Amino acid sequence: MTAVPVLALAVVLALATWGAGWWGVLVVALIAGTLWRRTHGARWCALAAALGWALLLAVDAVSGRFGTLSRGVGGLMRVPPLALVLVTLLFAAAAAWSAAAIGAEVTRMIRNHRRRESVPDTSAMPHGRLPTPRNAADVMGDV
Amino acid sequence: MRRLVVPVIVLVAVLLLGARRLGPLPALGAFLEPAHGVWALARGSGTASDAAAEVSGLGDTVRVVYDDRAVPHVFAANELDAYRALGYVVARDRLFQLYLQTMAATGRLTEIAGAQALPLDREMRRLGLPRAAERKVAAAQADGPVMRIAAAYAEGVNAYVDAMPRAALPLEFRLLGVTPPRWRPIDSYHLLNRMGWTLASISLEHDRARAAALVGDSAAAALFPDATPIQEPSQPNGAHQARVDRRRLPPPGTPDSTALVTAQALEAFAPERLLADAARDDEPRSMASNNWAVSPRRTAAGHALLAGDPHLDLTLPSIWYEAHLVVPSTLDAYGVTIPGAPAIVIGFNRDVAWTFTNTGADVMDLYAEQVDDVRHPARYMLDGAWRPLERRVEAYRGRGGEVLATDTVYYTHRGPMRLARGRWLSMRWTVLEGGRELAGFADGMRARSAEEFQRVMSASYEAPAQNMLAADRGGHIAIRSTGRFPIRAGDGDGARIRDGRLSASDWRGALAVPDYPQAADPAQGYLASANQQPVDPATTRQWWGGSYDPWRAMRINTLLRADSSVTPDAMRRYQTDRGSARADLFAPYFVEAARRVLARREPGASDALANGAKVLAGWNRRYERGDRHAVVFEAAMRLLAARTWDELRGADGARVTPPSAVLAALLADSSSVWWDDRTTPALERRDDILASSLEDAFTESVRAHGAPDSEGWRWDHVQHAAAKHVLQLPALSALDLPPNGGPETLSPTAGSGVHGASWRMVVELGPQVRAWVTYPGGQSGDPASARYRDHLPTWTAGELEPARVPATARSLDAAQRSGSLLLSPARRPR
Repeated sequence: MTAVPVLALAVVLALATWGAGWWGVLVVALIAGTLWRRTHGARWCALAAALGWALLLAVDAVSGRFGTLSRGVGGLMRVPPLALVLVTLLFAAAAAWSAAAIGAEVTRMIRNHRRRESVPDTSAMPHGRLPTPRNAADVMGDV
Repeated sequence: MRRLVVPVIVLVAVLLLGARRLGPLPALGAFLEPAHGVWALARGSGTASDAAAEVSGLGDTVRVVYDDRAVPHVFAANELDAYRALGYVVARDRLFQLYLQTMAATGRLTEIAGAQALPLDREMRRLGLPRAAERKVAAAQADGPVMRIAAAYAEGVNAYVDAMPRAALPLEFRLLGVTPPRWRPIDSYHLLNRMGWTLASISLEHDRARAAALVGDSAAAALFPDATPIQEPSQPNGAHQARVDRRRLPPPGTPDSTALVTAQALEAFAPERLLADAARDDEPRSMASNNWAVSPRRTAAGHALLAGDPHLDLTLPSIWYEAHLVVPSTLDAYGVTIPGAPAIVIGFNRDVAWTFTNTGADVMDLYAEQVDDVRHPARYMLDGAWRPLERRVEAYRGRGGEVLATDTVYYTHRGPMRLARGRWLSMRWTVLEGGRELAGFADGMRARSAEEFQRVMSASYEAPAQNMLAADRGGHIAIRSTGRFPIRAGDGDGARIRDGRLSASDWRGALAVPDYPQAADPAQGYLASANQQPVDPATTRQWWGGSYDPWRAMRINTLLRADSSVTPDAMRRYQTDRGSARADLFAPYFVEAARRVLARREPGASDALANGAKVLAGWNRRYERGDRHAVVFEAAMRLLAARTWDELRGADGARVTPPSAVLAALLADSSSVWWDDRTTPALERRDDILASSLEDAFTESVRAHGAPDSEGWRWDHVQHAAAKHVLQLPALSALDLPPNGGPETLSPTAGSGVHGASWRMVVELGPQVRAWVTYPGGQSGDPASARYRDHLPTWTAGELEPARVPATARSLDAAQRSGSLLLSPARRPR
């Protein structure tokens, strides 16, 4: 099941935004990318960020002023109001995806590096062993 | 490693867009994030909710009740608390406007807009406006009444700024990436200086010098006369209609080569706004306003009536903010304040109503100075002795605090100096002096009679000079042109550059109050001003120095003379009356000239002239929205002025256009050489020019707007009003508003449509004061608020809304409330 962790992450990202502004998205996504080793983890992170911000936008939109505001700001940016909402969500998604992807990749590199250091030099062994497929998945991680 | 490339590129892009401004785009991260960014503004409650706050300095609790028009009614225990609360509620609704006005008035727009704002900032600083505010504050006693008022207001503004949640930061601050600074008492002085700059910069000297450079001094003086040839003064002269003084204009004379240098020198002091408007045919040259009051014997209900509509730039948010201040047994004033001014500037209390129009007197003079070193002056000559110049270095900073440019501004005892065409000129201007206007407003709000209002205002108020009109519950009406009017040496002429080397050239003092133009309870039963020359030069010889055209004054007088039973609703209708004294005078001349010219034309000639004449002959001379005649008239007037005054176009293409009242007076002289169009070999006379202007106007109108019976000729297709956002952002502006009149009607709309009636008020001074008001905008400066432009429909319809004037907080019905605010004294820090 992916939905539950993604929704949970969306809530965490929304709370992080509330507490630390948009930087909160980068920090939480970076951490999530580091810890959350799933297939396409960064993409799920991006979705969670968009959902988290959509949640916050929904809170904003409860007021009747949301339409007026989006029309006004959209007019300023010369984009339709809906496009401005999409840009907002896309911005959150891009921020989360890039931070999570970097977090995951850097983690993978560190793990790789550590593994290389911890694995003895098999060339010197008479019966050197290659990493098993399971080990390979661990090393590569999922981005 | 390769898999890092794309995420890193995206992250860098996110960081660049998110944390840095990109051209006009704000940093998108903080801007778009929905918790505290721009979207959070949607959660703002505006004024439509109940709130409470603490304000330092408050002596007691202040209750603010917002009515259904979002007008705050402030109930305070003492006056200073009322000003604190006023500062708070204004900041709550108009914080960015407060900030922008201050930055503009202090010449610091470059700090938010960069180098592109440098010309605007230089104008403010070179005119010495920020320095003047500093001197006014220094001259005011720190614990004196004026500074106490300004300080209390500042405490209110700052209480709001300090407690404002991040999510409530107005949109414009987010767009510009700046945060609101704390408000200082001096900022109120900056604002008043800015109003002086807006209203007291009429440049008769410049226009006359430009003309003299082309047609000589004698003709220039006649084209830009001290006394307008059509007299309908605000101080009644006993006449029962406007008087046209038909004087023969002297022919164009020998160009005065020195006058061009003078004109160019004068341009150094002229506001950029006026120079830009003067370069256009159709743009109003200056701000205008109307006011009138009617004595009880000429009103239907037997109570004095007063109407006021100051014409200024139409902006969103509006220049005005509506408010009601109540302090039991001391103060009960309702009306409009300018954000930043701790006062009800125009309004009424239970006994008196008051309103202003701009006087337009010449209160700015120039002096040719002799300095010790033209490039780096340190001293100037006065009465044969060198005197030190005051030197002030003005630094203009960019968004990041970097210095973009510096200016050294020199001051003589008269005021700032400017080097123009190799000559050092100094300027003396009443706007840079004085500084007790706030005391005048404070006293005026407490006045109990029209006479008291005039008296207290005259005691304190200096600039910009205003035609102050008041009416009271006792049935009295009074008008006075109040301000500081300098007395000049010699002939008193203020339209020439005087010799700065002599102290004898200095002002000799100021006009005494009894000599101000004024009237009270006149026999005619009403008083009216519309920026026209306030006194008739036939009865009072007094240098006034330039004035506006008299058309609106003529129209008001026509309407009021014809109505001996005026009602408040009639006052409202008059404010948006579509009739035009200018069209009444000129249109018949066009039609008659066309008839005479057609009679001598050969058959087969173009029928554009006949058609043009038919259009004007069938016109009721009212600028109704559906009217299809005014388009031809306005085009004809523009062509008529251009062709008649073709002598006033310089080799550089720059031109200067005399007032239309001078053109009207010239109509009586059908063979004046001024009618000749120098671009043709023939010698034209009046009828030729009138006819050719009308003929070409018709042709031009067909070309631009289609067939005469098409929609394109409708006046509301040709002319619009426009209320532009203070940052000129189209998305936050109200453009293409239907007009309520035309050029020189009582609700004037012309050119780009950005000038007009900025506030309309009708007050009936009966046993219970009643008032009806509106303005083009809304109480809130928040573009997302329903209150941002909610008065616009009323304003464009020419309607007014009843003002609610509760005596106590409880006397406003629940149905008439939209919110409340409880302000409490801030608890002292432990």
